[in-house]
Amino acid sequence: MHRIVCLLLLFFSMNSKAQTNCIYRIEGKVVATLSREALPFARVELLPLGKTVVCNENGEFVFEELCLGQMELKTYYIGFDTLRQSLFLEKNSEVKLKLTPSSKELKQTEIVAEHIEGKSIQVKDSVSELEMRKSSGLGLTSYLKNVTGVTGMSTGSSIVKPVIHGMHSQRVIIMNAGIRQEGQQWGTEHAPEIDPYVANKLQVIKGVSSIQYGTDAIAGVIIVEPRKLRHEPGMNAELNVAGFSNGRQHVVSGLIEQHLGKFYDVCWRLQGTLKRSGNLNTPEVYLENTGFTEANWSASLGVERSRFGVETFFSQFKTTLGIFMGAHIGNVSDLTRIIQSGETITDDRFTYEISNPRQEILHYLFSTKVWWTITDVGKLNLLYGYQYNQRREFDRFKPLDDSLAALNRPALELKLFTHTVDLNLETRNVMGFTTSIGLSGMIQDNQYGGLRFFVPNYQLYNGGVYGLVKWRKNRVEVESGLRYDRKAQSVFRNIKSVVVQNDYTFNTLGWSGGLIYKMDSVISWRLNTGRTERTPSINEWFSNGLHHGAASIEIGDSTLGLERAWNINAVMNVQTNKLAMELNIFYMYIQDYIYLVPTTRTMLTVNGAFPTFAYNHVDAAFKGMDWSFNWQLNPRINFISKNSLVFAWNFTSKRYLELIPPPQFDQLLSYKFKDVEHRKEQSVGLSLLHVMKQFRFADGSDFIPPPNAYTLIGFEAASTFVLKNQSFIVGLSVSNLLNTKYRDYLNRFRYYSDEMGRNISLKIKIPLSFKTAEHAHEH
Amino acid sequence: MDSISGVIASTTTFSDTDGPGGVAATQDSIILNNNTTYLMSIILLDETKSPVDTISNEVLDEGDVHLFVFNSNPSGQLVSTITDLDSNLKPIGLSSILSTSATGVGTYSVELRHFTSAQAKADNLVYDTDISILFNVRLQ
Repeated sequence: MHRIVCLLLLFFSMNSKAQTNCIYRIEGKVVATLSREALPFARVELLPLGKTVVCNENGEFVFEELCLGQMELKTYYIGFDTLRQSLFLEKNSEVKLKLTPSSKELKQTEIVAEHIEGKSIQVKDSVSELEMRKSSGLGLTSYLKNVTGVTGMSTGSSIVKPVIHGMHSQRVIIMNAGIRQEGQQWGTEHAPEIDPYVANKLQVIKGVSSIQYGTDAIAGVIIVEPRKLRHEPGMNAELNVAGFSNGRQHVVSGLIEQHLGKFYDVCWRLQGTLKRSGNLNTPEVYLENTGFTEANWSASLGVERSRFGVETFFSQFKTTLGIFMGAHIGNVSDLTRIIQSGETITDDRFTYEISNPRQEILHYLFSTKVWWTITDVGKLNLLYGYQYNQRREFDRFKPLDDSLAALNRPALELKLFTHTVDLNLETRNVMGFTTSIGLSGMIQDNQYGGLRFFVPNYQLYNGGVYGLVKWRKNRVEVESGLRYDRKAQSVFRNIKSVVVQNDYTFNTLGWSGGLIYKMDSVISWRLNTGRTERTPSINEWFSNGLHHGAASIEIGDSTLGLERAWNINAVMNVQTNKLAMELNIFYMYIQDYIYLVPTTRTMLTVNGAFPTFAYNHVDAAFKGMDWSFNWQLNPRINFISKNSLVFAWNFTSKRYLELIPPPQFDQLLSYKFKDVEHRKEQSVGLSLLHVMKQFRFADGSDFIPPPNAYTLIGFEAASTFVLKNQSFIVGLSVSNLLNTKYRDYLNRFRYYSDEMGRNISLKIKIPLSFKTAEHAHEH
Repeated sequence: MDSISGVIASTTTFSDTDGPGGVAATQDSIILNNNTTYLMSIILLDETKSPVDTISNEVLDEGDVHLFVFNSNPSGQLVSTITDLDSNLKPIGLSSILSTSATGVGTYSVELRHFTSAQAKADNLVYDTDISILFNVRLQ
């Protein structure tokens, strides 16, 4: 242990600075050409990022956290021609945007509503545009892992769930297109049902500082925001293709969108993704039955006027995932046999075929958002969402009973129907105060089928009310929020052919508070604190049976009550021309943390004896820190470092909690070449990821000790080719360059196989714009 | 009682009608005469069904991917010789001859292996354990 402490301290002294990727800012003012008068509340769009801001009453605006590169500012104002102005950003810049009055006859003067959604105090981290491009073709969690403090909990290589500061599943809320994603999120082998190509913004709010989304978000909230519809006439499209050597995976994703013109204000978009992968391989062997397919599509339609807007969105996510054949076991002696032999049991050959065991998942999400701007009050939003989630899991063997086998039914089938309604009012800024108040409701129905029982049928009704107040003056910003929820749940269980109904009602209360203090233009401090309560999820109450992959019996407890969490985190942010860094220290105390406690009993079954785990309350604490920095040594060389530590302690039995991500250190050094004709944004980079061995775990909590530390080296190269006004953004990357053999502590299949070996990928993004007559005259 | 007489000499049962979890399983001990040869048949039932489903018939149908493995401790206390064969002339184990040794106590394990294919059965390699039960034994 002594050696480890020393090692940690060493890292501290090296990296006692830390984050954010992009450091530049553009400040500006929008004025009229002749009168030189400021144009209040003009809208400025920053391309190619697609960020939009609305100016203040003096026509001033700011874009922050921008990367080095070519940008274009597009400025809109009623009665004026749209202005496009290019600039190359390599330092903090100030611009004056001069708009010419439109020659066309003015319509009655409309006042563009003030955009109220300001910068929030919550510790909100975004996946940058560049990181999203590099992650193209991967699953959602791989995108999110770009945020310091987010890791993945995996089942093989294709099923990965996001983990925030050591917590996951029912403690993480995912907001997808404004709606709370509802799948069977309690399951560790149930990955989020979201196509990352739908999103153009991914954000993570860590800790209890995001109370408006629900009181159960103890670990944090993930916000997946589909890109905004076009708000100027015209049409454009985008094509993404990606190929990976490992699994011979290929991905095609495309979208097309159009704004039908000023007089209709109607815009639409269609988007779709197809993915296919065959058997993945470790440095040594192909893993049998690890291929997967995905077929996703989405459509949006919106009407936007200055005072109201409507937007509807529909998406389908559909995937078939092969589960590694060698990870299927019948009992504990099968598991120990595999562990002792140290061999990976697999049919070492490549195929795209997917056989049993496998998962088939289908998720539909439909949402409609309506908003009005009410003069002197603010903005009113109404959001309705419907989701259908179907999960079918097939075992390796069909049932012995021929009549059942013939039906080809899944071993486990769960259907979840969810309706959500949210009503929210954001008030306009009055004397520095803005508020956001809202009501939200949810009705949910869970139905199980299949041959094996895991969780029962239930109906759930949830109603919540919340309010947030924000006050801002000069260098100080203060925010506070409160949310109350009432949840009524009826559970239906079939006990010896009699349906037994149990009704539960829970009231939960959460609050959060935040403070930002900007010492000067370089250093700012953020402090967040919160307290919240979570109702137990259905598996914590009622699971009763064998968890196959884990070779254990899990027993729920329907008398379990609320889980209560207190959280505090402090963030220091430093931002200079050359350096951006962030240090986030957090501490969370959870009273009655619901947790699978190993019991001393083993349970006798016809398959043999299994260790038994029972859900129980313990008192626990999670603490740690994330630190990151982005250092622009000179215009060519950039160094990014992202590091995270988390420790979790079980006070009740005075030992460490299991399955907590070990400390990890991720570094990226990149070099940018000079732009030449036809080739821009050319760079190469080398990355180094070191994940330590987890020494903090309770003895006897697992069949084998956590795997050893590992170091992975990656290489990446990117370039934008421009041919006749058409650009092609190309990226080449190699992960696990040295084909290192390693196993990861947070992979449930660590008993059975090594992680994926070297993976070479090529990604091409092609943005297409179609010029229409109306569009062309803007120039 | 003499062996292979057509009369059921002894029945030993393991029962867990609600599957893993829930109500605990019950099981008998194997109590047999010393130095005797018995014919042993295994019958597997799914008693959650009505009428009761005889699973052992399906094991017999899929005999080419199933194999019973018996182990006695101390070794040699009970000696099993499988008598039934699958379509590839490999043993299954639903029927076997069981020879008991001198008076004493011990344990006897019964395992049913479910292979991914007939080839896997030949190699005795990739399988799930469908059944694994340890019985107490008393020879008197």
